[in-house]
Amino acid sequence: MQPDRVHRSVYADPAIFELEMERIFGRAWLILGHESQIAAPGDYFTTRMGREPVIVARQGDGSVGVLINRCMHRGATVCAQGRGHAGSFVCPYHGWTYDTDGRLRSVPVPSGYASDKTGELGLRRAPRVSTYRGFIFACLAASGASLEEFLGPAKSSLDDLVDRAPGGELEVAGGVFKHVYHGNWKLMLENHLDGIHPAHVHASSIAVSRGAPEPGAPGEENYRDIAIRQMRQNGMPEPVWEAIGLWTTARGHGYMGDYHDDSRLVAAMGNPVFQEYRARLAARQGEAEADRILGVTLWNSILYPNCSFMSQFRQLRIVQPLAVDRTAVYAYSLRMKDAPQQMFRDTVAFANVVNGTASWVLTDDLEVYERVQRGLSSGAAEWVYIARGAGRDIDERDGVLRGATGTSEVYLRAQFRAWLDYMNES
Amino acid sequence: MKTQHAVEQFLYRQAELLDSKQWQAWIDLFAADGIYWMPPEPSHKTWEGMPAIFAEDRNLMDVRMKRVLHPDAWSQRPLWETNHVVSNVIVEKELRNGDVEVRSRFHMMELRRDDVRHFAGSYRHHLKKTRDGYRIKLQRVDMTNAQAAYDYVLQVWV
Repeated sequence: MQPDRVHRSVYADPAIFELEMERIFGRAWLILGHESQIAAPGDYFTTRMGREPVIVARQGDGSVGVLINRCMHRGATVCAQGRGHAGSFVCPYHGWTYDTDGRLRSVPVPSGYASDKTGELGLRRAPRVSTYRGFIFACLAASGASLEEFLGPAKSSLDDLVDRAPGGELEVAGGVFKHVYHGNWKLMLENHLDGIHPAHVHASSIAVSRGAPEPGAPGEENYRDIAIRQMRQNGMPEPVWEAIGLWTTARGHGYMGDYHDDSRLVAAMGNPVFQEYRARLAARQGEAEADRILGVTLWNSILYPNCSFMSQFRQLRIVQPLAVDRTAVYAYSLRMKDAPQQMFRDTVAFANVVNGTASWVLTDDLEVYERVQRGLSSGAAEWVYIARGAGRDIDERDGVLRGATGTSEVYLRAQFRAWLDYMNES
Repeated sequence: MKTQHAVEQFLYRQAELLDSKQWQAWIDLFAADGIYWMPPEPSHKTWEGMPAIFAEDRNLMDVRMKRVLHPDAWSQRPLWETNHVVSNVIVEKELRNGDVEVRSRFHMMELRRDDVRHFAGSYRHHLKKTRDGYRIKLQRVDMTNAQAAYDYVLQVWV
């Protein structure tokens, strides 16, 4: 790795991937989901923390536990469901039975062991679990930065996401979109802050959106309008992209200023539903605070190394690396508590066309990730260039670097700076 | 028997239009207010207000078709090939005006460059009887793998 370039092996070498799972996914705080997914004690869902299969379960005392999904006897996973409600987890191999807090409740024929094993052989747990504004995070390292330290300035992105709910809370709603692409996990996190790519990658959807029916006037919008507006917006002229803010933090997080204004995206202030939404927000927060909240205009935010989200349409995507050239992505839609129902419909309309499994926007991103992965398996050229805007990054203190323009590759340099810190940490 | 035969012919023709990439003719099988819907979970009861893999009126179908055919639709070069087989056709309801509700099952093989994928699932068609034959009011598509992670994504209608 050099200041302006990265060796192709960081995307293509399986040995480096294994080291990343240990040193990055084994050390960073990882977002696992949202508290609304496990409302009642015994509710659980399963996911992965790097290579570790885990069960995220609501405990009897109301806290969240993260258990390693691996029987302490012979190693089988004890839970095969994606989500559900359980009083215990029973290994299918020899019937070892665990409480939802991981304690070993019973083994068959306990007299077969010289001493009672139930006290010592509980499921392993992620040593640190914490939540921020309803989002569940866990860390496989017993010590290190706290969640709040880890998030640092990126907390403001999560605050922006949650503050917009008139009821002060979000919930995961309506189901999850899941897809896999044949490319390295880093490619998606990089792409979401890339202001140059839309005009090229999304050229086809930009072109057709310009010929699509015009969005309706305020109060007369069609379901499809948000999708059409978003695709058109991807085709903005370069000076608009150049003017967008682009911030990164010392741990590789990053956020992009908005490239919409409300009139372009949702016809917001003239829209009766949006007015009702704003009134409910103001009733709870006060007029000034409501204005402040709605005045924060961020587009994509990245929590390195496993999350991307956007607050205006309340989409959250979690990245799960499967192999050096295979990555799963789970996309969630979030509903704002006490907001008019139509606001969630806007979330859905956006999700379906932009992040959905048959999206005509996402598909071309995935196509490009796969082409990059294929290209980087070639040894004819060794380097990937990350130098756009280099030398002009603006230091905003506390580790925050801002790109000199919205098309700077400051996010690549910041993500790789964090990558190197994790990989070199002893 | 007559209805059964007419409905089967309609479904076979719809599949044939997809596989031969006659997408405008395929869109024209939908009524003016017709909807094509693929939920991400079998439990979903309506396309409105819920995330959906597809939830399209004829306007959005038109956008999808044009995008796929655009020269810069990178993921669609070359265009994917598909082969549908539709079977197990059951007419569940036939109204006095001739409208019908039909359940069927499909299997689709898809070729994307050198990669073959297989999809299967069920269709539920609400068909409106017109002078020009049936038109689709609602086509619901439940993929058997709806809740699993898709290997890559879908592009043209299934």
